[in-house]
Amino acid sequence: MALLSLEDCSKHFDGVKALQGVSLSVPERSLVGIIGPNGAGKTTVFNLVTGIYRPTSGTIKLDGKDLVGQPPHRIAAAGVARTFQNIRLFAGLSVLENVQTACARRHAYGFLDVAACLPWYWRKERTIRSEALDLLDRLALGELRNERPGNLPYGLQRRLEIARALALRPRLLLLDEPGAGLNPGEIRELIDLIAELAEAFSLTVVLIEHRMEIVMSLCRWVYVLDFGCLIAQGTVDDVRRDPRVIGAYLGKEYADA
Amino acid sequence: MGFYSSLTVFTGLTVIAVMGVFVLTGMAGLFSFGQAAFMAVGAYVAGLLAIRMGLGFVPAVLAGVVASLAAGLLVALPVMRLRRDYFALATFGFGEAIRALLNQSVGITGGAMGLFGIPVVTQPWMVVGAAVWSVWLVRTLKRSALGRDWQALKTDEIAAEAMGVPTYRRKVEAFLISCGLAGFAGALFGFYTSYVDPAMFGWFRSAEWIIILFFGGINSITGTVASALLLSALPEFLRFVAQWRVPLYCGIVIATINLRPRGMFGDWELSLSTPGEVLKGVRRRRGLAQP
Amino acid sequence: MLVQQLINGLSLGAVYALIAVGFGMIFNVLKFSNFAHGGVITVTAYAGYYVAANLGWSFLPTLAVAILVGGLLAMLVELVGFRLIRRRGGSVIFYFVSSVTIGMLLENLMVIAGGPTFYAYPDMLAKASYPVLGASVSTVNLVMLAASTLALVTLTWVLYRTRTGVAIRAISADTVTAGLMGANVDTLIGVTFFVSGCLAGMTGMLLGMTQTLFPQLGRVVVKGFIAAVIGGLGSLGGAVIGGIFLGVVEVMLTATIGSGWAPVLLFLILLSFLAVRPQGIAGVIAQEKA
Repeated sequence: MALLSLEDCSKHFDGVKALQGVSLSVPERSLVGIIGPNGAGKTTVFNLVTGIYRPTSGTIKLDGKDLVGQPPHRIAAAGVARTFQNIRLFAGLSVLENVQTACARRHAYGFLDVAACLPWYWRKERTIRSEALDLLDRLALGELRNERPGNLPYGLQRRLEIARALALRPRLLLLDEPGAGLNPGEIRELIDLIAELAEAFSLTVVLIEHRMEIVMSLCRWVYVLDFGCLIAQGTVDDVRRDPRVIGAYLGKEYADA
Repeated sequence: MGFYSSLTVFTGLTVIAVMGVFVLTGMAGLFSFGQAAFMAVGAYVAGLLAIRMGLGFVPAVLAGVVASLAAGLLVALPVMRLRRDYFALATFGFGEAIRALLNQSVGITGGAMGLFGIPVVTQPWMVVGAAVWSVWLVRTLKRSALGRDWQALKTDEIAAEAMGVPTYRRKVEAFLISCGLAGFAGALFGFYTSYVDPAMFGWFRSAEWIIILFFGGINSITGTVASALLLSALPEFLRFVAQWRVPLYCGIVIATINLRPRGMFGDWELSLSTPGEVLKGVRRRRGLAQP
Repeated sequence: MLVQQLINGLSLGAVYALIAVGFGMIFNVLKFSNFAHGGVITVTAYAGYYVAANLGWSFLPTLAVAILVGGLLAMLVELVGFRLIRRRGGSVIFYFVSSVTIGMLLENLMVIAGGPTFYAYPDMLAKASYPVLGASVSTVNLVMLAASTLALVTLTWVLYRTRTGVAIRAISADTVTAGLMGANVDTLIGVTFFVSGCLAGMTGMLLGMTQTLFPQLGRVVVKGFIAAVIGGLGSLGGAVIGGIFLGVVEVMLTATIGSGWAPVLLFLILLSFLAVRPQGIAGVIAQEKA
């Protein structure tokens, strides 16, 4: 049974067809890759799934439930977490508070609870804090909990973004180029980290990546997008031999040769 | 109404209203140029109920707060989903509309002549107490999940939504809290001066609150309170330069924004552990820290 | 009567359009609502008054002075109020507060310079009113309509037919890329402010002539903002339509329900407009990129 399925999804921006009739399905507890040249519409897929954009047509289902038209925060609560290509941490908050923001969804309280200092407010706040600290420790960020995200090196910012996404306790984790800007050593660590987290948190992971070593080591199934269309899918090896994929990446003459 | 007593009251009321602006602008990153109009709503509703219907002080103040909350809801619901500029515009329009309304309904509000005869009930100690309470409330909010949500959506609304923050709801809440505090300050104000008129609540007052916030530092409650105390008390002692008061303000703010954009206090907050941390820092510098 | 009201509405609308366009130009380039525009309007109105009343200059030279003062002052405003913020890459909030503060500063400097008193421009036009289609229309209103139209046509020509105009439109679309492509961003933003200031100068003087002159004159900038929003923020053509629409509606409302109630109704119209069609008449809406 597919956890996430897109059927015939299109997204047009004033005549620009960012996605055209894309269908894909992600089985529960699998690791799936989306690859393709720049501007192929990979991030648009994530933006549709997380509700930032509404598809022009098509359906998106999470575990059989329709996601189209739901606001992003509902979709997040339904179990979809993501990271962003151009890291989008909350600059004004500390490392710990960044993770706490996501943790708080599962222990919600309102204004009146705070104003009246009701006992469950303190209790929930303590739970949020300890869960966030656990996560930070798990991703080896515990020491940095009081830093501002902007002061962290790039690799750690990426890791913090993953920690923040995990704090939602998602079923589906969408990683948008997690390897961008990392050095080979960090890439190795990242691959191990993603595999370990997917196992530990029973995650289903979809990742957009340009770095083939990441896709090859993690993904059993790969979708290839080009100019908003799905041009191929299959195992990494199948896809790499597909002439259309080679054409999309290197130009048509290479594919014909 | 001695000089020091009225100074205490006006400064305290400014602190209350500015705490509301701190929630709205400092934490949620929204601008309202009509906050003073919500103060007017609080003052007029509480005053009118006390004069016309003989309502007691506490229920009248509560009614004033509720009325400003209702007015806030009227403005917030249609525009909060839109760009932040539109919200600023709508609040400004609301401010002007309220003033026109108060000026025109002469039979009820006394029009431009103002509303006379509100019983004098507010005492300086009440205002001080209310100001301390509002600082406490906002400080607690800042450290709660709501505070984190506001600060998250201020920096990045899309990322905040993706992390499950219901941004629309949170923005409306921030606005309502600030309206409530402004209305509260307004109701107390009416019961102190016994007289209110529409000109007291122009957009300059709203802008002044924002200036106070920026001067102190938009991320620091400590800074905001200090700047409210300084900027609202100082001019009272500088009456002889009254004319230059506003230009002086403006100069200070422009210099702050350009040269020290995070305000005089930056992100720094006074906390109960601060004296301890300062001591620790001193010991460390002298090489006396515990191993 | 109706013709007269309509022409009065059109000429008021033309001035709102001038404000909205001056406002919109800055919005396009720096993506914030420049309330300092109102301060510039006030100062130019006083400068025009000084030249006309104290030096006895005639209409056109006075207008030239107002326009020049406006342009130069707007460049100064950019230098003092916005340049450091831009260099630092500060958020929109800072521009916004800075612009409001500068608007307030300029207004209060005029209070100090001229006192809170009201002044009236000397009569600079040969005839007070002209008959148009059987109605008597004041010359100032006709001049306002003509001058605003001329200014907007000139501006369109500059933006679409000159090298500088193209460069300004390029930085409106994307400041960073335009800079990388060799546009001198500092100079161009300076020029944009100059042009927007010139429009403010014209607005200031025309408003000073039709209404009386007082320090809070520049607060009319909000009308320009409303017009820009109604037209669709970021669209100059929309700003013109929004301005004229607002002017006509306002004059009609004032004529029917009186100037006291007009702001209340205007606010309700604005609120319902925002609720129904937030993207404005022109339909462009600046959206955050996901």
